[in-house]
Amino acid sequence: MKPTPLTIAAGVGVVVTYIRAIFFTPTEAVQGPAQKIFYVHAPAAWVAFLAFGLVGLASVLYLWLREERLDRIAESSAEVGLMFTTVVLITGPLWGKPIWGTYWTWDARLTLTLFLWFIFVAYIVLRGAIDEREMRARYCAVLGILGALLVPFIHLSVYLFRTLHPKPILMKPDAPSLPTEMLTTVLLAFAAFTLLYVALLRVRYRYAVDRDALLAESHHA
Amino acid sequence: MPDNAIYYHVAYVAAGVIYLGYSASLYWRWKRVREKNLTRS
Repeated sequence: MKPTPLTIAAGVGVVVTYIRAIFFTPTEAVQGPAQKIFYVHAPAAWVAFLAFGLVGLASVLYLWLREERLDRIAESSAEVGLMFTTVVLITGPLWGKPIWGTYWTWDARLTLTLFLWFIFVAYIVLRGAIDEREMRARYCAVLGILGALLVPFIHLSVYLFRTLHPKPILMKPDAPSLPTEMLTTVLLAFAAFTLLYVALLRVRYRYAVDRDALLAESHHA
Repeated sequence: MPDNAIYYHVAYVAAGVIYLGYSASLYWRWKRVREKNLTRS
């Protein structure tokens, strides 16, 4: 697979984000250097929510239209979303330790995110456990929709429950509460990791198409 | 200012390893399937 302009743009975007966050973004006075974890943690969370949102949408459409490509889109987005959620669940506790004094607390936002991760691990396991294509797509669509329904609930959990997790800085009704230099880095990170998601989703989808073609051929043989 | 840079270094390296590792696994899986498809056709 030759690199496309999309994959090149995604790769360059992520490298530029890392360089800008490490060398050209001021260190926050109260939290210290650990605050820079925000530039990889928050975009990963946004992309994970986007990915699982697409799983939900493609799954609903699959149950309605029964088109194989919708199942492939859901499958691909679920796997990429799970990878981004893993980044969220690793970088979050690494910020929590110096700031909260603990890697983990059973707070609503953290617990629900971990639950979301398990749902999509189960989704991947379920895909591997059912051989019959139509049944696998149908069962996974139902699980995918249930998982996606959790996303808005996780986003609102900081308002619905008393939680240690900070409230959104960007995705809120009023203006972002960050100095311009930090805001630029955050916006760059959101754009770069969204591009990375689209690039990975595209490759994962093409893999699913080729794999299904191979399976179809071996069934005919 | 607190001296906690190690946490952000570890977080950046961990995230980078996951992104690169996943991209590599995707490429290898795709390459294997592609080669099998070419062999059959």
